[in-house]
Amino acid sequence: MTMKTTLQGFLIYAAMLGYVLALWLYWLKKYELVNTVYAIGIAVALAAVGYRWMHTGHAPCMNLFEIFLCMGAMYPLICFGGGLMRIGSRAYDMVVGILLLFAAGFVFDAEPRNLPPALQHFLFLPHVSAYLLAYIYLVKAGLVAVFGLIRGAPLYGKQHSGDEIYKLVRNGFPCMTMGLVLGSWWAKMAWGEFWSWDPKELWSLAAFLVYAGYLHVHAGYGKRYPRIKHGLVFLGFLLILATLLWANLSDLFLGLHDYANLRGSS
Amino acid sequence: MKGPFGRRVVMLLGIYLILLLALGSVYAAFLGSETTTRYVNSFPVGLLWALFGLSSLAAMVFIPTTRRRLPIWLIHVGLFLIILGAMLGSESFHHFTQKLYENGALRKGYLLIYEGQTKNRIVSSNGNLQGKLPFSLKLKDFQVVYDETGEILVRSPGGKMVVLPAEVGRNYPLNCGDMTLRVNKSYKNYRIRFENQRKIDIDEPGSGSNPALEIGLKGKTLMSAKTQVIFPNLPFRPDQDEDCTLEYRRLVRNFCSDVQLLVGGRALIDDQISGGYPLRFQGYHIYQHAYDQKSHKYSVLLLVSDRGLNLVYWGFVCLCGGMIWHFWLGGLHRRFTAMRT
Ligand code: HEM
Repeated sequence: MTMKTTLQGFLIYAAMLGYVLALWLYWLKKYELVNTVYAIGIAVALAAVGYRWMHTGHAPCMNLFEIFLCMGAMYPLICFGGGLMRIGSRAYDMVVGILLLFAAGFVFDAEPRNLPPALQHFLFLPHVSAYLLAYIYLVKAGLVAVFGLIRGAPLYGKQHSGDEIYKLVRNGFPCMTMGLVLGSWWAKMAWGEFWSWDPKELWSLAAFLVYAGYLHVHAGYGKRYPRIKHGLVFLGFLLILATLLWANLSDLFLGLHDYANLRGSS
Repeated sequence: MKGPFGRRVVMLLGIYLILLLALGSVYAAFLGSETTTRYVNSFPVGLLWALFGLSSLAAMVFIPTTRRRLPIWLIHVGLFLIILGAMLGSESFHHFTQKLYENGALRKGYLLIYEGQTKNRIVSSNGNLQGKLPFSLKLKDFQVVYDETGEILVRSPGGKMVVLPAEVGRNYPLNCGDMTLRVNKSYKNYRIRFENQRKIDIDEPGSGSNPALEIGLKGKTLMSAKTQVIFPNLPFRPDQDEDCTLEYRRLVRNFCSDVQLLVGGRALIDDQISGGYPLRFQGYHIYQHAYDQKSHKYSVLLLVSDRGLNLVYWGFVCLCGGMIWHFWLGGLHRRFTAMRT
């Protein structure tokens, strides 16, 4: 774990500070100030993404540092934007934002690398963007489901119910499908096979199938079996984590997607 | 199977199959790509996939409620097409048809061609001849394109390796002998010239290539600050007392083969094949795969059969179209009609 003593690092820490302050104000119930401070934090996080984009000359979604940086700006932004993502307490969203930026700020290496030939394709950006958007909705669904699963735990907001989880999944699942399909098309163009049974592909297939399973339980049994449905959405969330982190970081799963395996040399 | 009971049974079968495949995927992630590919090409796993595709299609045909819901139809027909296309394009189906017709399509193979050479013999990854193509390819030219900035590979004591971007003007602390390194200048075609008996380094314009990097080194253990030119594949030891080396490395942005495709000795297509941009001809995709890293004299092209590919692509379109229609446009449409009424 290292501090980043660059302008990039400074922007990430400033955004994190904004989120932490907003959380603290929320805890103090100073609600009229929370929005302003949170919005400033998000604006700084977006500036960090923009700076990275300018600095490297490519969309910042090539390695784990960039993915976490983007999610650390986009997740709070989409939650802040309201609508469906306003479900539940804002405090939990702030914590997620802090955790995402913490990983970008302290865990992953930010040294810019040139894009390897495999990533210089017009399908790279749409594939990763679709997945990023899917992860934002499905991570939120996973969190709501966790609170639904723990009996007696404070619920994720007052109006918590299975309907909200379903709405989040029906937004995230088509994005995930498109991410999968675009990735498959890109793999065919770059490597010759649209599916190589690579560990990362298999983790992402497992996540896709689990969400499909959830949708079928929902379509077949309506409001019945809420714990099974919550369990499946939570399992999907764990499989997303495995796709994103475990498959990239563990030496157990070496494969075609190792370009994302830039853990840092320090 | 009619009525809500039948629907529930089919749904249960669907959920069971979906979760079984999810479990299988997690298990396969631990096996690695090669073993999984072998399993997937085996009869029992093929049967499971066929059951999956057919049951999703059968559910759409036999459950009355789904018949009026075109987007759900599209999703499941899409899935069926993807599975069918993947099966037709699989290793085992190619083997089967090759046995059946003697000279069926090759599934996958490599062409190693030197500049100026024309070839139609396909070999496997271990060099065995797999067959001949009904057309041949001539390699007219092969090029490697590098990025503007390369990187410096620092190997410090204990075998630790650090990679630093070779951006001109950047300073880096080095983990050997308390040194700092500054990137002064990069050369595309480094030459030494003597003027008035003084040696000067120049970057000679023109097509020649001798990449190099000028670095400045400062440190307590060095007698004085020094400037050094480093080259690819020539590790440099900045301090004789320290077990530490620096090496300049250029980064490959892309590599491309200019090819001519010939049928019966007649040139039909002139094209460039590069990473991510294959050539498509007569049921094959031809990819830029690898090259001669030392002298750039030959190129390795990968040839993959397209059998079943169109079905897979149509499946993708149906699957994504159905999802967007069912989950997004359907919701919008319902909201719009609710607003109007
Ligand atoms: C990965 C594979 C699959 C995907 C992605 C998928 C996707 C979907 C989706 C998105 C829905 C609509 C759910 C909703 O309205 O919330 C659905 C419904 C349905 N699926 Fe699948 N499905 C898959 C496999 C299967 C299989 C294998 C079967 C059959 C055995 C099946 C049978 C059904 C049925 C019967 C419905 C209900 C239609 C209705 O509501 O009338 N699906 N599926």
